[in-house]
Amino acid sequence: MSESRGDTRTVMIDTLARRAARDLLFAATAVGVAAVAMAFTVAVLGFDPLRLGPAFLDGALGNAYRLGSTLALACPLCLLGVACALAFRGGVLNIGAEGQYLIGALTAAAVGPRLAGLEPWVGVAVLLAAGVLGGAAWALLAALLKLGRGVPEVLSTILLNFVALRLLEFIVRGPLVDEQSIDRESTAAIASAAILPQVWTAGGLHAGVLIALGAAVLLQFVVSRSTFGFRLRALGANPIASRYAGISTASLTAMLMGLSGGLAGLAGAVEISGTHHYLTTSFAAGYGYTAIAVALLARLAPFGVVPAALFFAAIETGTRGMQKLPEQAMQSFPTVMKFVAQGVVVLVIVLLTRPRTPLGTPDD
Amino acid sequence: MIELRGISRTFGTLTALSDVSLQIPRGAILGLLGENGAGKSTLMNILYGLLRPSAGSMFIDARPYNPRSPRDALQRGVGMVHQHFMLVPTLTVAENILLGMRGVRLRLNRASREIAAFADDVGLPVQVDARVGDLSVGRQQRVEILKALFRRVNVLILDEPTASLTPAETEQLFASMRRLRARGVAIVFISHKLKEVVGNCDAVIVLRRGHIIHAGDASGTTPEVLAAQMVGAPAFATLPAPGPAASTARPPATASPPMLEVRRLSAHSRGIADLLDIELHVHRGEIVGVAGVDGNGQDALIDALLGIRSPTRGQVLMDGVDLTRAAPRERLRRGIGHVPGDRRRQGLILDFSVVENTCLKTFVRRPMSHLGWLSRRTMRRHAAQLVAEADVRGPALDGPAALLSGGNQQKLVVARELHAHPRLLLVCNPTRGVDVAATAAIRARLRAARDAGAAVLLVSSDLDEIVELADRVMVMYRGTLRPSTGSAGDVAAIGRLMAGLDL
Repeated sequence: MSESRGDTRTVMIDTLARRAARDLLFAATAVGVAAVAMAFTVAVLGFDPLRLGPAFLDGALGNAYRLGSTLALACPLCLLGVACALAFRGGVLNIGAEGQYLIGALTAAAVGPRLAGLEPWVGVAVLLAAGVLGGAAWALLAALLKLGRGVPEVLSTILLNFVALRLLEFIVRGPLVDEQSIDRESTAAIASAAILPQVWTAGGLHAGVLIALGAAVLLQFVVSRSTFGFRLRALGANPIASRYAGISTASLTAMLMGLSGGLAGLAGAVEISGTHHYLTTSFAAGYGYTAIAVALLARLAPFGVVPAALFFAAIETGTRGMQKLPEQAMQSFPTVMKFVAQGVVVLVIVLLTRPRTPLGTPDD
Repeated sequence: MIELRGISRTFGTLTALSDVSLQIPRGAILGLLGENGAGKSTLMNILYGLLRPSAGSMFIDARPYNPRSPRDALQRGVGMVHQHFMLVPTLTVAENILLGMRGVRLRLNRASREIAAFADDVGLPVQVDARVGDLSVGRQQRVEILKALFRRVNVLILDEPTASLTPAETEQLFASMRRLRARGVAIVFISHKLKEVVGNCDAVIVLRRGHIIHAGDASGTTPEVLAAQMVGAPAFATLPAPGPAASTARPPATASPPMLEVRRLSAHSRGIADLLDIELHVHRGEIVGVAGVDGNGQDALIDALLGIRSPTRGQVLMDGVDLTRAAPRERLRRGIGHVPGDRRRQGLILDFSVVENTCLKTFVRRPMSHLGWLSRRTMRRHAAQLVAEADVRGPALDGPAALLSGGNQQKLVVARELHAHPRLLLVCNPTRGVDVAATAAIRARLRAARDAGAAVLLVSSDLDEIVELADRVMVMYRGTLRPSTGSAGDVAAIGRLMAGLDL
């Protein structure tokens, strides 16, 4: 603590750079170890990792369309990952991004068909707002249970995921069903005014990608630079000291839950507005669970979620690419391998995360 | 006989221990003194296998001793009782003692009887089937010592064992130590309290900045000599004059309304009264001491005054304003400062940087933030100023507060609270586990705050501290608060109230 006060700026940047470098090294190690483990696993299964590797990259980035697909998939993963990272950073264990995502998509799909005739940007804004509100409301249920009855949010949010899924199925088949559809498993299409514009036609990429990127950047600044972010980090690091410092932990917990749910709901609405345009009963793909791994790989830093989401999206599209290899043998490559890959990454993350023990520090 | 030869330990560029050699014969008590950061904990962690020395060698009974873990240390008969106990509160005494032992058949009844017999035999009787969480701090410490002894330990390291004990419990501990010495156990006694070391140890070693600067018989020295050696002579020149002289010179300002007024305050948890009809006034410019054995409702009182817990009955007024139902933030905003008893849990966020910790209560306000965005340069400047002012020594402003030593953490908390010029200051055991020089500095700052017009409520289980600082003394006993009618220095009267006796 002896450095002079003049060079505070450089010191600040120095620590930031060092932290970024450390997190990057962490992520690179996790990804590297996972890649080696995957190569080994596919070799044991009788496939040739040297041929599958390039096929993986080709599937994820091979041409404009594939790259576009990867980016489009990264978009909900990024918003959901930021939702998880934010809540976890504040010590609120929201495992319910999946459910909040589904409810967000549901409210967006319910509002969508009624937006005909609006200015395009108004239609999109209303649709996205509906998604945010739906997701936030669903998350606040868990906050109410926690603050009112002391129900741990880990339990309530994960259970509400199942409720959300059944609720979605019921409403899509019932009140919101599109009478013209053949299988009666989908809602009516949203109005064209509520559809997100394309930003890259060759890749089939919609503007949701900019929303996801914007949210990650904005929330990174909020977490590290705002008083709200300070409170959030304080609550996550030491709730007791936070209370003694005058932080209202109950309202902050509720606020965080709502914010996290709102972001997850936004992801659902972006998917409806940008990709699907209507809701089907097969909408749920488990992105809300993948997002937990995304947030962990990003070390709970909102901006770190961007590369982490891209990575998990690439696993998905890359494994699709592996199945498109010409050889017969390769076509039997199991899609479940993507879950193996995700699982290995999570395991490596957990292994690399050192438990915090004060041993080995100089004297007390 | 345990022997250390030329032990050194470095952390990066910091030399925590340098060429330390010492011997501890069987049946002797070695007192280990040193300021925070002098290297005491490093030395003990090396002895106990938690750290490996960078250089040097150790021997037990002339055989090389190189522990790689506490398990190795225990196998060679070296045990340690940490300042923060390592007990499972929900398990019984017997279960805690057996926990982690190899080759124990889980026949608890028989094992319990064995432990009870063993405890009686070594002169440390305990109730083996009591839940550890229900025991007093002194009893829990006894369980820790038994845990080590039951593993056939013959070198016992006690890390600041008296820091959280009442005077009576402290006396019991010394009696236990003497019994263990008679049984041939070698004891390393780490303490900040010089009188305890001189009065109860056979030999004394003083560490300063990783070096042994004094080693000799305890009988051949005095607390004054040791204190000078610990802190280095110049530090003594800056010690302020003792309190009573200052406090007698100033009449309490009873003319103005009290800064803090507590009326019939009660708080209950699960039907049991933690606070019972508390009546309390603290005026501007006075220090009211609350003496008492830990666990008699002091925490509940402070939490009720801060709004952390809500009372079942009664009123809290500050400068005439009723704050009984006000949120913690509202009370802090009105000028309540708080130096908590548990700085690591309540006062600091250890993962936060020193800068962030110095702004823990002011980050919402200008100039620390503007329109919801932190002004990091202002925060940092503020932190640098506080750190310089309070002479907090540690790794870096941007490093986590966890890396500061205990005494420096406390200096940081005190500096933060006093910098805001609180109108009412609540202080709990401000010098517990803090070295001599830091203790003097902290007490001087409290007096200065009082003299500048703050109303100070000092809760302390250290009677010397109360007598030295307080203008008036109250005593807490089982949730009640009674004034000590005698003078502040009437230790006998305070002692009777602490024990629940009438005056």
